[in-house]
Amino acid sequence: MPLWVPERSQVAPAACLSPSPEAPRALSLFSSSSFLPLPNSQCLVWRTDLLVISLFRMAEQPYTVASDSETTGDDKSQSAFHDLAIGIEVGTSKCSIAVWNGAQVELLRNTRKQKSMRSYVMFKDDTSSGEASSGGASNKTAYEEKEILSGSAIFNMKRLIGRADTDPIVHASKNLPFVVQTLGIGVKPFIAALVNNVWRSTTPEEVLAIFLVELKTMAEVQLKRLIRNVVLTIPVSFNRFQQIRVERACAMAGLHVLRLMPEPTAVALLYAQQQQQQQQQSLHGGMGSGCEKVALIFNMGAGYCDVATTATAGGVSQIKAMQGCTLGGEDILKNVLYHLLPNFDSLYSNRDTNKIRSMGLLRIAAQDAIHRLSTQSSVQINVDLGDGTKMQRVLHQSEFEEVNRNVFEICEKLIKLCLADSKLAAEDINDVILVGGCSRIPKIRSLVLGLCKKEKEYEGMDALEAAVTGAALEGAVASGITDPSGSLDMLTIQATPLSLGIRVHGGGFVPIIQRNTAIPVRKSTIFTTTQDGQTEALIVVYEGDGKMVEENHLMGYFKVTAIPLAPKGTAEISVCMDIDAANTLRVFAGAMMLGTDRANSPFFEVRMPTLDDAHGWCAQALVKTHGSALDLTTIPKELQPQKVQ
Amino acid sequence: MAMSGGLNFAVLPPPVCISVRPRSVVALAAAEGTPETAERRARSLYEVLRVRETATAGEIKAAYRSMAKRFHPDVTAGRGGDDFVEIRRAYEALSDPAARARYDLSIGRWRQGACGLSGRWETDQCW
Repeated sequence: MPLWVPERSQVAPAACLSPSPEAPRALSLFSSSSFLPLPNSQCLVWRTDLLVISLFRMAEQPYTVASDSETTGDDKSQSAFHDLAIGIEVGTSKCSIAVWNGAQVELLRNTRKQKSMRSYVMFKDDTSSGEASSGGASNKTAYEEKEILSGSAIFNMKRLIGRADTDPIVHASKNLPFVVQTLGIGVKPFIAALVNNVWRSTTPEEVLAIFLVELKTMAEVQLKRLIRNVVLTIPVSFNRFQQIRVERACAMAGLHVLRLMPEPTAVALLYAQQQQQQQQQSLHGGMGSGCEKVALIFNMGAGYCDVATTATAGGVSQIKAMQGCTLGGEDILKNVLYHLLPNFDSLYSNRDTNKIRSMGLLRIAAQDAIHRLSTQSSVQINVDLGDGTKMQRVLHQSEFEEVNRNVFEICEKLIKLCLADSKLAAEDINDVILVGGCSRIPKIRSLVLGLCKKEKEYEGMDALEAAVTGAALEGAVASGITDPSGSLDMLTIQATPLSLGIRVHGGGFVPIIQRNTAIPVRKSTIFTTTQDGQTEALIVVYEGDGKMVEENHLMGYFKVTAIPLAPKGTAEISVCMDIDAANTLRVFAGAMMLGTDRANSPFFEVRMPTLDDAHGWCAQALVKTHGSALDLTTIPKELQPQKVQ
Repeated sequence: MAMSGGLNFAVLPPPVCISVRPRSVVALAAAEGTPETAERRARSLYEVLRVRETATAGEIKAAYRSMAKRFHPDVTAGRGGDDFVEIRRAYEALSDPAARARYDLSIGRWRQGACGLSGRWETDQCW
């Protein structure tokens, strides 16, 4: 107990009568687990106060704490609307914002009345402006696709954010009109936009932040209030690095991320709402009752492809499994471009502005052809590339399907993996939900429906609006909004798309939280030493599903110390991983006293990822510096505390 | 508020125990000073889900859902994450027939000690 407690105790009752805004947080801290760190010293003070109060007032008012918490809870619901989180879907190509308006989800429109806005940031002289300009800035011109492809705009941020320059996706982005430079050493790629005939550098986060500022301003003008909290949709395959970068971009834009939601899970929430409404209409289906419906959600946009399965009943959607990869319209477009112009790469090696213009024109023509092939069996491509070359040819659907065979194969693989992970057969699926721009491609529709043995897809969802609508619903639910008609009486129980674990001796990866585990979750595993008398061990945390650590993403590392002296293989090191509802990962590790289940010394708690750039180097440097001296290894299964799985 | 708190450690006998040791360490490091009542420590998985021990798989699933709707951090504005983790653990154990059978056996054995020598049907009457 701190020395100043007696003094505090005198002021404590007064403070208790007039609870400050900090009180509820401290209260919840007091009553719930303390695995979470104390957010700030203020809370710590409050916590002590409350302890003092309860000591002093035990006899007459043992429940002061609980009643305080309830009062402040009411206050919260009244002010909640000001804090209501909006839903944002920043797509590789398009983006949209939606908000719960008190009765339903409404998509916001920009000054040109568009609900779906092109995602890009145009760099001009000393300013940069994105698509979402609105309100006071309404005289801002909308840039045409041709200008966006002139090299002065940065787009496809979502494909670049949080990736190192060794990433194949970054390499594939080199044929975009703006500059993407790689040195292949595992650091952030260099990207630059053409401003006054100079390549001016920027970063994907910066571009995303500028774009988000524009979106935020647009929403604030329309909703006539400040926006702070957002629910942002992300692809399933985003690792925690990418998530951190997105969060950072949001912070730069003055936005607080309430949830980063994998796109199909946002769709699942919307599905849960629709199912519940249907059930309420047809029957008086009570809470938790009603039949369970299983849906497969296939989402493919310009940059990413996601598959998820969800089991829904009584407004609760439980994500059973998720699979995702970086595959989308961009890849389809690239395949078509190379098919139309096999020497496409050579066209842009010297980044001549005329060549960039030609590339832009070809890109527009190819994109248009792909769109038209969704409804036509063949399209005529007529494009003057401006440098004397004209392209005139017919592209057949069969040809299109042939050049994109690899894309369809990957889609098929993802769906099969997802079904296997969720232990479902095609017959178990009630509904197949197809969302995202690429889900309009006939071949993809037939492929998904075929694998799920369905005649037709689920109806009642707009393929381009489902994810952002779900995000806005989550924003309302997680902001504590309730709806008398029960429209917000639902929940998506998220799952972790990637396994989380640590490196063991020999470079193997041992998952502690398996992929597709429902979150929030806390799991732990006991490891042991690999050296006699080893007193320290490195906990190297990875995310991914590869058997070896190199195949996964390094999240960070720290050293566990004070391992009791013992022969190798006998000391016990407990590593616990915790993911909260906001998807924050904390790793908690320490050595146990020999032969007991008690900690030998205080444990370490580390929020991950701790790393920033050059993470590929860190792993190599660790091995080079420490060899296997600080390695851990698993202990035999029979000695491991058993888990219920 | 009955479900608040949530660090429910050293609960179960080993066969189905969920990482006994690490959890108690977590508790050691984290929950010092938190008033844990003996009653809360002894809560069975069935009590966590608020179902009868004879509940069917469907009832368990429905109970899990309705508990999720009350205690998931999304609906409790971020509070009570541990409650949900506990509910989830209980559901994971009870929704898997093999794990449930093992758990039943373990609490059956445990209760045999408490209720004297008796068969399982009698231990059920204990509740």
